[in-house]
Amino acid sequence: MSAGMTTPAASVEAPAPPRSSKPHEFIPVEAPSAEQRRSRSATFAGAGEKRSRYHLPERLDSSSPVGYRTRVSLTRAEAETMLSVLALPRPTGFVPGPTPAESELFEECSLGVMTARQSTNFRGHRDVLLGPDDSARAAALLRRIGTSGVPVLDGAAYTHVVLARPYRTAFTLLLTFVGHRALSSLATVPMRAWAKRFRHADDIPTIGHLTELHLGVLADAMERAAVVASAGRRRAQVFLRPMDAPADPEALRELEALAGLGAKERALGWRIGLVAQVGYATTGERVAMEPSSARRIGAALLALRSERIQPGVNAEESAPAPYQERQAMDVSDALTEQAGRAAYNAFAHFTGVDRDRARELLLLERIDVLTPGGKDRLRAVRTQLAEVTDRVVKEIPLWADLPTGRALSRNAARGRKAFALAGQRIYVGGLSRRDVEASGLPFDFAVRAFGAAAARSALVAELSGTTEIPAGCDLLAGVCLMAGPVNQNDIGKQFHGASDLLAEAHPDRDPTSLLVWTLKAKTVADPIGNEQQLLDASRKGALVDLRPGPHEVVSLRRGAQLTPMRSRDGRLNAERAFGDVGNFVSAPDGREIAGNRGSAWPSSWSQEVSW
Amino acid sequence: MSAASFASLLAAHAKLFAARRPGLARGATLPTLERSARGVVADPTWLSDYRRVCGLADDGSLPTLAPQLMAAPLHLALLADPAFPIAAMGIVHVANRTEERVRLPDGAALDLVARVAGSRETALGVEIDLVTEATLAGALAWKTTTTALSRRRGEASGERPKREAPTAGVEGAPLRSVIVRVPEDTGRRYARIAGDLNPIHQRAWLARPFGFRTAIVHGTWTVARALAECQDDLPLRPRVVEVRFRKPVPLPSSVVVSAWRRADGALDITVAPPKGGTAHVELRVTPS
Repeated sequence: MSAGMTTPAASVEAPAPPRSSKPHEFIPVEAPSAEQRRSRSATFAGAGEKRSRYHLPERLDSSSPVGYRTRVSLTRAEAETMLSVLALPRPTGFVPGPTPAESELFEECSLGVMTARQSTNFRGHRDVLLGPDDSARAAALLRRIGTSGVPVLDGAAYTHVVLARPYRTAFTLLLTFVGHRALSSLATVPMRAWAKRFRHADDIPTIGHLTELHLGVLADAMERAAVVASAGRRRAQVFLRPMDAPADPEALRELEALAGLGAKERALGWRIGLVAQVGYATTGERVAMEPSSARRIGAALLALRSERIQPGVNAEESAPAPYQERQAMDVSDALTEQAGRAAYNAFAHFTGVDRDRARELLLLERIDVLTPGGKDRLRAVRTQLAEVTDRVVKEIPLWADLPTGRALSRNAARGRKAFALAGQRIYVGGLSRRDVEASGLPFDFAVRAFGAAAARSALVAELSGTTEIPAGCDLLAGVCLMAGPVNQNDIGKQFHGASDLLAEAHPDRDPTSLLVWTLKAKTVADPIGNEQQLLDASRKGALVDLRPGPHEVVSLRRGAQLTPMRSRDGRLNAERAFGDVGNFVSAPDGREIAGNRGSAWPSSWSQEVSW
Repeated sequence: MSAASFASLLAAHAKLFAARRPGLARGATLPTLERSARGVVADPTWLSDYRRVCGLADDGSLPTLAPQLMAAPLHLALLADPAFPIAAMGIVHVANRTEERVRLPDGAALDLVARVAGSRETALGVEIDLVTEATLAGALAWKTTTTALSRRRGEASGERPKREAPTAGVEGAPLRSVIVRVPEDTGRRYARIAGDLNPIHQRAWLARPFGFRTAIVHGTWTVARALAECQDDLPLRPRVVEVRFRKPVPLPSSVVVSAWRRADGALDITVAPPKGGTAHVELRVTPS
């Protein structure tokens, strides 16, 4: 196990009874000196000026609840409230309460399936909301299916049934052409394409793992979404274990039918990914949270995003001045320790193993970029990934590449930039299939829990990085979670005999690396062009998907009908969730992006009870 | 709208647009004309269709401009009156001022009166005021003054009087800002509900002879759609909704609806092109 995220805390603690979660402590990120404080300060392109990704977009035409948002500077008390949410045990029961208004469901889903985290947002999830009566049916079905010790609760106000499909994007299309021999590729490429389409086979194992990781990330988001959207009054009981071996297959079919999952969708690879019961918490299990704080926390969660470009490090020459100047900032060991604690908490919470076992199962390598050894290690990792990219580009079958104007090899080469590693603390994380299965956990389930662990760990760092932000700064620290480097490494493993990224740090564990995350202290937010790739169809990035609107991924079951959320009488959602907090991007002169603030869904619709 | 009533509406429009009128001589006054109808109730299906085409949520109250549309047959009758000297074809809607004195429930039985209220000379031609009033249980509940411009041939072009209005992005953070798509068939869908079959709203090829490159959407649709985006932000009734039409909304297009709250509680709304420039429509909703 690597240093930094684990051992110091454990060595000073007295033995405690097994528990799933240890409380989190707030660790501030020290702001740089006043002279080093910088912010993005993006402006609109002037007349005749060539637009770049550093300019503000002129407009936003999107039904996403997010929009272009600035980070909310949380108070320390708000951050501590949120940290307490991240260490909650599972709820033990629900009590009766009013049927939530449509607006509450919208905001909860905004913090869940509609955002989760950038890499999860591949339109691979659909959320079906069941009302109280259907929730009671779902609870009975879950008991028949079996939930491996996680109690099914009675009295849920509503239930999310999340459908998931295999991860398929432009990147996985490209993977179809990777790793073939020159002559036989004419046969092996179509064979692999057929297997992908009809058997949902993956080109490399880590692509299959992505589906599971995303579900874990979403599960973690949904748990806190239920709390934040209700200002602490509601809690979620999430069932994350794969339902591929149900005790009663007929019950699973009934649950699928309840969620509108039919043969056609199953043929496309859709399955029930997770189920979350949401209900009113018992008095002792409510979270003390001021409604105004809950709204600020909600807006803050929507504003978090991946941060990749650190000032002074890998900034393009064309980048504006704030990106060119180095900042003497670092994240403390204490913060990385808390981030590690969050990861163990989440893994134990979702799998049911105790924290000590969670610490053994989660494999991490920390690359400390600011130390000489860290620099060497980072160089070695970069070299290894670059070699894979070189081979992929070189070996793309010409018969496919030439007719497409070499689009395949050009896209493959983009991986150099897309998967570039930069940061002060870089972590590679993964699991050992052998050890996971020896613990009695299905590997796919552990991968899901790993996704939740990584997301929660990142959130702990992000909360510190957005608390008490000084004037003139966008943030104090940010995180980027990436699967790309792991996928690139996996290509090397599967086709070119490379070793796993974690093999050096964990030589005896037969590791499978799953995610890389980079943690950075900085005060300048990444170029807004990165966000534009998520929100603007005309600027959509090759490896990302657009942030969806509620009508695209959420539906409510009423009677026997599934109704898309916020598609009514020809109108689609234009409301930005928690928009009353007002954290919208603007130019330094106050001018705003047209369409960014959105408009409220009419109250006569949003205040309706949904069932 | 049934096929028969649509056909009769089409015939009325054809007659209206075909009629030759002498025009209003400089310095002349318009004749006093008035039409009325008693106990007019909005048909629930029509109201539902109207709300749907304008994106208005059903809050149980008649939308701001619904009585104006309910009075459309009266307006048609006024314009078709042989004594009315101005040709309906070519009249441009330039402003609207609506007083909503009380909340009108969906099923309210309204006594409607429409009359030609006067005219004035402007640099571009003659502006005509058409007043419509709705009375509920004997009390004036709603009133709108529609101002339309009839251009005179050979009239020197001049600046139209401009009301002060907010400009997007200049007067602080907006309360709302949303891009609204206006599909190509909006004019045709709305025309059937509004009873306004002016060819400029139908198809590009029908609009071109009248000087438009594309069909344009009805101004009353634009106003209703803008109000729909701010439905919960509007000051409570009694209130006054002032509208200035600055340039038409082409079909198809997208527009930015932005709203600002003023210190006096009024709401300023603009409907503007996404690339900026002159607003299509400016609205001010003031509590009264």
